[in-house]
Amino acid sequence: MTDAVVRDYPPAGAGPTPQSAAEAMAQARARAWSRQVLLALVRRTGARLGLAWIAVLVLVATFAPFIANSHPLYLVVDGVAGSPALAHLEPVDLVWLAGFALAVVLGLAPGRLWLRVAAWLGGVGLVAILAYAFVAPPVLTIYEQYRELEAEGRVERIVRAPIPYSAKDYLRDYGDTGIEAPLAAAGDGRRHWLGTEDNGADVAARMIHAARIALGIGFIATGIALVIGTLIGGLMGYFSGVVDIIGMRLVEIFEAIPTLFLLLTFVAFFGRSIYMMMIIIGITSWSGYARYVRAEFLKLREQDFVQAAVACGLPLPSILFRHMLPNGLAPLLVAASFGVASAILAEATLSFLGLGLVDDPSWGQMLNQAVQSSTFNWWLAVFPGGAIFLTVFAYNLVGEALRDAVDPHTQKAGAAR
Amino acid sequence: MKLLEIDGLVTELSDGRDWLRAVAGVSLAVRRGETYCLVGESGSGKSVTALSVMGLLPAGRHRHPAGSIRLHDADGTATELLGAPEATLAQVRGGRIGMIFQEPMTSLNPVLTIGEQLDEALALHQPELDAEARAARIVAALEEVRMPDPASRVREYPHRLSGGQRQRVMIAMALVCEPALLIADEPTTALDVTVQAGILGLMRELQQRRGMGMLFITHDLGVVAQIADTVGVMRRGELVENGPVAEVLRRPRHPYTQSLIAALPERLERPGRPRVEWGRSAAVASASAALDLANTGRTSGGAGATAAAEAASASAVARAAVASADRAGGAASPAGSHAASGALVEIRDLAVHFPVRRGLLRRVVDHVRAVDGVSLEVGAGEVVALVGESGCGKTTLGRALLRLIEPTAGSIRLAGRDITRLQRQAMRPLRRAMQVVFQDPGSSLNPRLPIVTTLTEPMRVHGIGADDAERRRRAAELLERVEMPADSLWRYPHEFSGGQRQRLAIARALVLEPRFVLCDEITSALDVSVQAGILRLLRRLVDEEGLGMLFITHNMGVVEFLADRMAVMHQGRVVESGPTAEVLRTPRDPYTRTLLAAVPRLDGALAQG
Repeated sequence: MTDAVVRDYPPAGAGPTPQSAAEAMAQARARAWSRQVLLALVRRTGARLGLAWIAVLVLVATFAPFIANSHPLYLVVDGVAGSPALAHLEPVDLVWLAGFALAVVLGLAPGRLWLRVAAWLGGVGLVAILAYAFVAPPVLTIYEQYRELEAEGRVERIVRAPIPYSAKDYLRDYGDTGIEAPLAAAGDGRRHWLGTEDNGADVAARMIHAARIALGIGFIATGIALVIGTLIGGLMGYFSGVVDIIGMRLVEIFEAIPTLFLLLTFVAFFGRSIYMMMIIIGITSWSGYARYVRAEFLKLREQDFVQAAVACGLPLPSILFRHMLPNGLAPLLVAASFGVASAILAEATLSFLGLGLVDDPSWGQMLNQAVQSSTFNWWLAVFPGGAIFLTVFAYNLVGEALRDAVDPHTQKAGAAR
Repeated sequence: MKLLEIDGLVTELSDGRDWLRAVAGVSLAVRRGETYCLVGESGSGKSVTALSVMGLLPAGRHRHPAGSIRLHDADGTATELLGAPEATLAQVRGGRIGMIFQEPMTSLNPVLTIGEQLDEALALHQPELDAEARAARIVAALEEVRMPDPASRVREYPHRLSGGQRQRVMIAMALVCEPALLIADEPTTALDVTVQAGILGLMRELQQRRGMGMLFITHDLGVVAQIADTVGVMRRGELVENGPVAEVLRRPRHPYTQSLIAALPERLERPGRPRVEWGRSAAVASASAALDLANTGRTSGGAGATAAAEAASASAVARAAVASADRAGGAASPAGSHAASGALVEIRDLAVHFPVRRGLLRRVVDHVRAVDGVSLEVGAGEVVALVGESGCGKTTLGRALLRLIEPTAGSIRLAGRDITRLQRQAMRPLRRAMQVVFQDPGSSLNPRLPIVTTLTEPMRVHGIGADDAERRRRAAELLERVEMPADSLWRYPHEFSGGQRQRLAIARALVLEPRFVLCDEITSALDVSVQAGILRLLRRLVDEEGLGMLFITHNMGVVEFLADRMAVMHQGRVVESGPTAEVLRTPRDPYTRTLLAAVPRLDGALAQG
């Protein structure tokens, strides 16, 4: 028996043949799939631009109280030092900051991806509970007090945020400020880079604080939709038969519900709440994801490795979530990144229609102000509109790049460029 | 007289960054009226050579640093094809060179009738013909490839035709313009052997009648022996041996050709097996399997009292089996002993029918009888081959046997215990005893999990090994047994070749220490040298561990090497079964005879030639 015959042929030294290339690939360090996709993603210019814009948004949203705030970051009055900005931090601010810090720490920590994601969710949840239970900033905020103190000459040292106005600081101490174009203030020491809106608040400050709503609604609404869609779609795809028929009817029912109309109804009955909006957008948009997951699972169910997992007697959750879901995730991720964009648009639409939040800033609501005035105030249209456009565009870019990155065929084509 | 002359052809392909040399200086010549077979394993560059001739390689992703391809005319002028303008190539393709591809299912356009597709090529290359003449030519061409009822078939769409009929249409399409050269790239690989025999006979006949040159690409030496005049053996882009077929196959000079021929399953040396002790050892093995099951039943308390009762009966069967084996003694023939002892796996009158539903209310109007009353048994330490052509129900039978799909009727017994109607929960502890390896190396391992997880997860579920470290150690040992390096544990499936993946899939099946393994065409996607290694490994595992194995295949050479007994399946039924040598030598059923006669054999063809 010649044993050399048995094995796959070892590569000969001569020339870069296909075999030796395959061999070299096998020699390459083992890389997890998620890492490969990430690498393929950041190799694309479009994805880089999109991710950069989203990163800027995340930074701005997280550190909004330190970027745009009427409360000074550091203040010494009558010999007493303090940080009004820190004292006035709301529970929401703390949750954002904690979430960001945890994400950085866990991002660098070793371990399985899903474990780290779970740790992040748990940590943010814990911080949220603690923050809402124990953090109580002063109920009455008087934004003009610092400017008055300064005018009285009692301030010894003051460090202000780069944009020294809060989102809801209507500059009452300056009298009738109304709508002002960018950098057109009346020479009383104010400087509004992006102008002011109807009530006299600084547009830049409002836009910075509105970034939170844009990000939050996108991620949470899409997250809710993803979880529901994956569960229902996965069960439909795996069990097929009766489960599938019932599930598909459910999908059809939910697809027939007009999201905007439902939102209008709920706003009319229960008042305005950003969380309600997130939930409603989430539970009306899962049907698309369920369809994707179902199709993937129907395909995967027949795959040999799934059959082998069944034959090994593995329990159902393992088969569904360990052997099937990661393999069917690719189209889901792509759909999700487009879903984030459409959730942002849904909120903007609602706010534009005047059914969004009352006092809290949102990009859509600012657009609404732009059209309500008798004159056309271009800065109220251009800046929030531009932000919505760029954000939706960024998510679409990432989604498109993700679709290419998870598809091995286009991956090669991408490498060629 | 030379027809096609390839001289020092070099083809390099780009994967985006690097240039890979797929063909490295191949020189060959195809004469008129000659069949030149290009044979080699996957990745040897044989298809790329053919595509270079046709100029069909992807634009911008290939280059020819050297070489020439000349197509000689009858009057002695030659056309250089390499780097020829697209207009010249378009004239040559289809007109002077016809091509047939491997996959008949996808090489016809599904939205055009076959008449329209044939007409298109004809109208392009022979514009002097009018519509009526073309229609007549098309019918004649279909008649020539022995298409039944060609006049009405021209209006059919491809989905109405079987794989063999589609390949006949492809041949008709390649021949309708009467090319001087026909290039066939693995034209019969996707077809069943009986269909393949018909197509090969047809191609040879057409080629001789027309005096055409033919460049025939294949990986199957049996096909080479049947059809070739001249053969060229390719390996890694180089032509290592080249000569008249009888000479190359009988007295191969190059070591690679020798190793290819030696690796044919029917040429593999069968390891000696303890024939005399067989009856006793097999019965003991199957008895110990039954005891294992009994223990599993006892320890998995969840199944409850019925499981305990069944376990008791299983262990009783096991003890009886040992006793009967002792009585039967060493003289018992294999067939006799497992009949007496109760086989490891035994199916009786198993049927799997798929309902055909129609209409709004999804009423069941008919059944597809995929498996229609099959009885079969597999003893421990024995390989039973299940042979049949595609669609005969052999894969369905395998999956029903493992309870991956629900059987309609009949019974399945595992070591004496009836598992036909067990619930999912009760089935789970028993899954340990019966494992499966699938056909497609591309999809048999979860691409998102490293090998270590694939191997240790089933162990954890079934409580094998005390902790993860011990399970990993066991997994590493298992990799050694399937002849894979231990560092494979930390890799992902895409980093392995097809043969390596099948070894890993075998390891995954063995990880639970099963008593029975189902192998569903596990070598049919592999090259012959890789296949030889896997077959040897399987035989060793069966002999050393007393596994029972049902090996589903369509390859008679594999059956001959591996199987102790074989069963031939046709249209959902077993038409013949018995010891391998007996069935192969003296087939009784007419279908078995047809099947065996259709298998292209190296030895038979050489003996005739």
